[in-house]
Amino acid sequence: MTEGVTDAHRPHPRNHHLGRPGSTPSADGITITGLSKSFGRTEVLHEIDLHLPPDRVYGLLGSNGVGKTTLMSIICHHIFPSSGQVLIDGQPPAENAGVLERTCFIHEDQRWNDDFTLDILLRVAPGFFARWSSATAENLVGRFKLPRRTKLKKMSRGQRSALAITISLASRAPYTFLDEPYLGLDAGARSIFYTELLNEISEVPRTVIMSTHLIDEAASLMEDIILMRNGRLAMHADVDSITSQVSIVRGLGDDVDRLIGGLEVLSRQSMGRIESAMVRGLAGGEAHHRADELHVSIEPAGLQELVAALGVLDATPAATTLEGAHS
Amino acid sequence: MNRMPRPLRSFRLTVYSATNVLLAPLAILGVVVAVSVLIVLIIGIQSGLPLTPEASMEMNYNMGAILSIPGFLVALGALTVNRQFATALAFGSTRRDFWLGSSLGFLVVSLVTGIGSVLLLWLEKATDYWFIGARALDVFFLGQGDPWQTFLTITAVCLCSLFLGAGFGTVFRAWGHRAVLAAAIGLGLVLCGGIALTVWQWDSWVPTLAPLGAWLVTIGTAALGVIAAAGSFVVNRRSTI
Repeated sequence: MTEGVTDAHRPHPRNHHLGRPGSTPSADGITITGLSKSFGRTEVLHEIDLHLPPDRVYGLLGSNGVGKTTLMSIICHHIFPSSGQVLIDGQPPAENAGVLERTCFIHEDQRWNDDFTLDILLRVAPGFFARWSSATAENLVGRFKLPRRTKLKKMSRGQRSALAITISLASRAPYTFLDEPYLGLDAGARSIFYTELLNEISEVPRTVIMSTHLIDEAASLMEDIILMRNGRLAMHADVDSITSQVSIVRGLGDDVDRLIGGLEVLSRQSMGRIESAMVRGLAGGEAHHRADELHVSIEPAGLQELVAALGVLDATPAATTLEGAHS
Repeated sequence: MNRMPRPLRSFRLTVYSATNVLLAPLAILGVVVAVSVLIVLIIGIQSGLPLTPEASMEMNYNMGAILSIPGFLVALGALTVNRQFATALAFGSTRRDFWLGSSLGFLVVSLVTGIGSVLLLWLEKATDYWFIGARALDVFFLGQGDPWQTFLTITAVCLCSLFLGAGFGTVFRAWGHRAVLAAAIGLGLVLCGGIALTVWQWDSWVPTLAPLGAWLVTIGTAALGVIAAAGSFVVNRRSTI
């Protein structure tokens, strides 16, 4: 968990749907159909089908090289698909100025002009975004302590990430893409990012698609997760739905077995006589009462543990599916 | 609510700084003048200053003003389509709007340099060739002191250089360095073919072309610039980041 930001302190994105100002009721979100992408003979994306309703925060998860950045790049028409279709608000983004100007996608390895400084960027960026917020930009520049006159190419990895976050959030683009936004950020800066992201989407709702490896740390930001494996969509699910179904049971092996008998076990670990099992379907006061009798603990499963148990982040095929998964 | 016309957003990105973008080509022209003056000063050690009108006319074929500009502007054009393109797309621009905006930027840079060259020409004449008989802009290839020809030639050279840089830069971004090499070889072959055609048709073409004189430079660079602009537009539509 990030230092300085706990679940208790964070406003949750799911609490900000009702009465959100500035919502775009006509927005249809992003619809992807049969999307594939190959570079030469290497297929990076394979037959992706996905619908992302608007004004939600999506976590795009998966190990390195599974195609997360490629997927975001195709949605924004930065690269071209080999086959399939992308629609944003019902329209293809290809050379569609009305659609593309609603997007902001600063790549993790974004190339800037060698002469550019933050001051220059803050001068030219507002022209591109209809809802640009100078107040947000100034606030983030101050909080991240970004140097204004240092050439961008001289900035550290963390500063470049903070810069990308600053521009992305200040853009208030209806479709904001964050590509590994926390790379190089220390714990304090990550905390600022999480807090400011939540503040921003509370104030001006938008669709945020964020690729990340720090699943547990960013879990409370995400409303939906999109799990990718080997260029394929492994799962698209509502975070609350899938995590509420799964628990971790810890205790002596025999006692754990007595408690979870008959339930679906997603993963199991042991350390000496102590067993730890991730199970699905253990809910209700009776289960907790029986756990107390057996001196066994029942804890909610973290998203990171759940994703690992489902085998999405490694080469092993997922052994199960969970209710709440959209595809 | 921002209602800036879309191509102007990329224009501002291209012409982001008066010092770095607009004035740099003018500074190069200034350096050309300075080098020309320096050469005359060195010659003057032997011949005395100012140079005689006859000696001054020896500099009539000075091509410094024309040859010094392309290097910087080809690089500026290539950098623009690489770095600014990536920024424009990240900020939600279409390729078409980026091309229009950056082309408008190229036009402004070229016009400013063209106007600057006319001002320098006027200054050169007003000072009787920088007081020592040094010619940098009142030369044959720029129209022998004709301000319109100087303006149009320098503007055409600038536009041609920027679009060539943009074209090659876009090819590099889209298909890598091998494609740039292939495109450069292809362009070289086309130019060689043109020269071969001219030599082959010398007798029939020379009577037509000879009266154009130095305008041939203006027309030739403008034609190459148009081809480069069209090429950069086509490859830009297929380029990625």
